[in-house]
Amino acid sequence: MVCRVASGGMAIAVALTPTVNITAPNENNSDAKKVISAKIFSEIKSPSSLSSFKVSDIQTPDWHSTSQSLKKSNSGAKKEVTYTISTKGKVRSNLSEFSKLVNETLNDNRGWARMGIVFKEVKESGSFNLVLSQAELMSLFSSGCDADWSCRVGSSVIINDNRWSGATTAWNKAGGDIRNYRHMVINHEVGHWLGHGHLNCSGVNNPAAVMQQQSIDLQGCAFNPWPLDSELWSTTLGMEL
Amino acid sequence: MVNYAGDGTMKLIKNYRTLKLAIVMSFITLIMILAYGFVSWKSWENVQSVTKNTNEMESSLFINLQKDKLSTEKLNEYLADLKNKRQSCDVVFFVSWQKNVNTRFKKYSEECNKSVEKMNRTIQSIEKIVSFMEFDKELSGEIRTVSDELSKTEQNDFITMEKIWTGAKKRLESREDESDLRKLVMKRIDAILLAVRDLKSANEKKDSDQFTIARDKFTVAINAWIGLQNELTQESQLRIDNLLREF
Repeated sequence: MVCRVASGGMAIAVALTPTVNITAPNENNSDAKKVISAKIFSEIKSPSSLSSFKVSDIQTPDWHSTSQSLKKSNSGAKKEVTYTISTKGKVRSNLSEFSKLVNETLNDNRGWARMGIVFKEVKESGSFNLVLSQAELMSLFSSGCDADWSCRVGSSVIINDNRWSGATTAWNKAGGDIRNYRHMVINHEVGHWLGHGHLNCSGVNNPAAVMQQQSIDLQGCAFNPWPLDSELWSTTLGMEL
Repeated sequence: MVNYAGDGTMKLIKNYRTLKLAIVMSFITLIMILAYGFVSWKSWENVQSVTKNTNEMESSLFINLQKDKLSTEKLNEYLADLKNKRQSCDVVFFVSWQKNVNTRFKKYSEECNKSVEKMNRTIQSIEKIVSFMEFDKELSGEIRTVSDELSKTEQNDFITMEKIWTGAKKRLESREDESDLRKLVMKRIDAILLAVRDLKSANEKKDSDQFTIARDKFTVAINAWIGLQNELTQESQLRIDNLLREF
């Protein structure tokens, strides 16, 4: 009985079911999505507050053993250093992204800019040339350069495209992220142009110097993509610590 | 004779009663069938309406998100509205079984559940964005406070520096929302505090080597603090992407 009633009911329900037009949201409106994304981002303040966050440098006290020889190199007017950007061979990375991150890194208030340098990209005749090079062509710059690493030869600061796009095995294994690797490799190679050689880890858990070969071995130091206070000097620019 | 005649009448009366009963029963059955049919029709119509309304709410939200300034207050307004208007696809139990035997009802039910689930995800995504924005407001306020206080502090006044950073840490620790982001911020502040305490200790002991190392630690800790902007940007991007994926 119940079954008969139910079946009959269903038959009537099917016959009487109205047809309603269903409107679905637009799923392919990428411009509108960009607008929404930008609107929400404009309300988020902490990243920009952090990017402009400044603390005064720690002063070397009078009793410090090096205090007599210390000179403040960044107390004067800003010094402008120009550089060009070019590529060699076939590079996979996006050149405008490379150029943007190079500029951001060099002028970041955590980086070499702390010496009072303003780095400016120019089309030609820069003080140094930043080259994004195909890995296989690295050795053409000098016998000291190879397909595995980035290097610096004279006024050419050469970034290996493979390293730029994928960092190094050791770096990735240690959980380092690509953005920090890129900061580090730019600071490190430009550091060579500024007159720095390689440094070793100063002690377990101490922050690594940017001139330490961190992508090969941290030697117990803590990863650090930015120059330490003690690295803020440049023989190339005649800036002493 | 009387008995025969009486028997015949009784038979007639019985047949008449049976017939009457049968008519009444048939009528009741018909009423029940019609009533059940009506309830079924209303139920499935309602399911379709829920789908339609939910999709329209989603579309309207998408349009509004493009038009309005998306402050925390505004997003909270949207949230309240969506939650108030949220509907259910549930159908009474004596009708719901029909979706198992009829593909059209199954389709209505699935479409409805899909759109309501989508709406629930949208609500959750907005809640997460609002929560992030509230945390962001609190954090950017703290960054400003710390920055202002530090700018009034004399160079190498490690005691005051420690007090400023400890104060910021305590204030940020006092709330429980966004625990993962808070933990990350605490970790960065702890590294700064550790370096400041090392600097203070080296300064008291006049230990040049310890001072140099502590100063490097401080630089790195401040750099990591500034670098927090990357994690915050990534997190906010992730939450915004999760919302936009629903449209």
